[in-house]
Amino acid sequence: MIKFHTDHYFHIGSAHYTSGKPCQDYSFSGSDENTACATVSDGCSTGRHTDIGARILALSTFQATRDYTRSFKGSLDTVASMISSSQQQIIGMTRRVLDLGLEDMLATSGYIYLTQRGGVVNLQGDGVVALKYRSGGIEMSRFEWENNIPFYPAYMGEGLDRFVAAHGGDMDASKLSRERIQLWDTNIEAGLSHNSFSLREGINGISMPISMAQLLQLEFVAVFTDGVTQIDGVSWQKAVVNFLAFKTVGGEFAKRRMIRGIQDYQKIGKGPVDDIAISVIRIENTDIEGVISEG
Amino acid sequence: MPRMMDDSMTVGKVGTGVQAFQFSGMRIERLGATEYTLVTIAVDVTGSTLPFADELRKSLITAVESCKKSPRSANLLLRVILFSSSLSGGIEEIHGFKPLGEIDTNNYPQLDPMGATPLFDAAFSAVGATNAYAKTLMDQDFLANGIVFVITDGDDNVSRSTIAMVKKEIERGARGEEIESLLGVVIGINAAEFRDELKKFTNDTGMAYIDAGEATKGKLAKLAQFVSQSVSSQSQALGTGGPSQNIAAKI
Repeated sequence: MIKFHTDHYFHIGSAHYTSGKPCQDYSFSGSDENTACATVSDGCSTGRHTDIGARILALSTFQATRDYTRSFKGSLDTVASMISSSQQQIIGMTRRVLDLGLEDMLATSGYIYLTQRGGVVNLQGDGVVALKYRSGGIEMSRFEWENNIPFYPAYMGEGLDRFVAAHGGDMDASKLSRERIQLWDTNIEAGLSHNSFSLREGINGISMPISMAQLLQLEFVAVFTDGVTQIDGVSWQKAVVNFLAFKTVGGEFAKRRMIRGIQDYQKIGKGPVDDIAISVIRIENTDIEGVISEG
Repeated sequence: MPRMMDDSMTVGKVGTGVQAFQFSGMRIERLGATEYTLVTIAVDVTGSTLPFADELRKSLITAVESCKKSPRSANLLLRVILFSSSLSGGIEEIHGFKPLGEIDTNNYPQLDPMGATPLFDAAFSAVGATNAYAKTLMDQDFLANGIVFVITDGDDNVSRSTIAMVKKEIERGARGEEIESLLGVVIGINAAEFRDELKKFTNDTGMAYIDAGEATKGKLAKLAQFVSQSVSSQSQALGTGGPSQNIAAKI
């Protein structure tokens, strides 16, 4: 039987606190008996109150997954589109109630939704997704928009035409790149690939399904904001491996690891220059882990 | 020696040979927070404490129950030991480092004071165990600091441990490598006669000395309050890189 445990953490980057800006990254996570959701959001640093926008995005996404679970009982066929639609409704309502402008809502959205039968990782914007297997291997993907102009879900309500124009207007042009790395046992690189997505695909959001078979092999699924790619003196691959090297997995396991990891990086450099956020789901397979602990 | 434990606890050791003491603490995998303040209360149960043993026990229970009400209670792990030469090895662990929610003070035994005073052993066991358990936590990404209270009415006269051993553990705590910070406080109760000796002990080891005055109901109630407030201050200092600066200089 599969049990889910989640944790999340976000941390202000050195460039933000030296310039008096708040942390504009946010993360949230939670689980119940059968499902789990972990979400991150990265507010645009040149927006207005995007620290609030990032929180609204992340919490809206989380609520959207809860609504989806209640309505569809965890079916995976239409999960990404249904969650996106629900997310937009919640964002729209919240904007009206709080009288927020588009410039406050410019934030990315990345989330993981898992059920007993598998799940999906979805990204609208940029960031890093990582899958850590029980074998110790890690598969990580970095998503980056051309000219650092990421898509923000808020554009679906307003400003989409300007976003498209900023990327040259061709919906089929490659504008979002993916760098994918596979590591055996955290140290040995087993594969490296690059591919790209069109403007249209990036706007729709990149969905990475997780099958049930894959779920049984996974131990952690994590999503990071792009702050993990901007740690002074540290490659993003090394940072991801380090932040997923959990020493204990009870309670606030991700928070402990990232706090310690950032402290270590601050001893050798400036640490995270940009805000950074992580949200992660641990997959406990009680059948396997019960046997291991009895051994 | 630690009492029979449940599976949620693990056992450690400080010192070597005849100067070794065991301690217990919650298994790391059962801990969920990011940071903990390790609190130890060592209580003198030598013969001279007999006249106020009941009040001393009440004071201990009050201190523990007050800590439970702290906003930081979820980040405290508490150990309680008794010391007297009448106890096997001079030290009896009532319970090891445990979350406050798992401590039932109704199970605290009635004190049975007798015997002479292994003060240095109590201090060494308390401070050494705090350092050792903190290192275990810090190695597993937890942040930890500590505070130790040794409540006594007299000077040492039977310890196997030495002042140098206690001092070494206090210095180990001060380095900030294995534990963020460590405060050691000796509280003298009814100890006017031994004030000079206790002050010398604390000066020589780097601990602080607080004279709680006579063992009256009121003073023992204030002692409990002092413990609780000091724990709260040290817990709030966690993450700042140093010990609390707000520990009161007197009760």
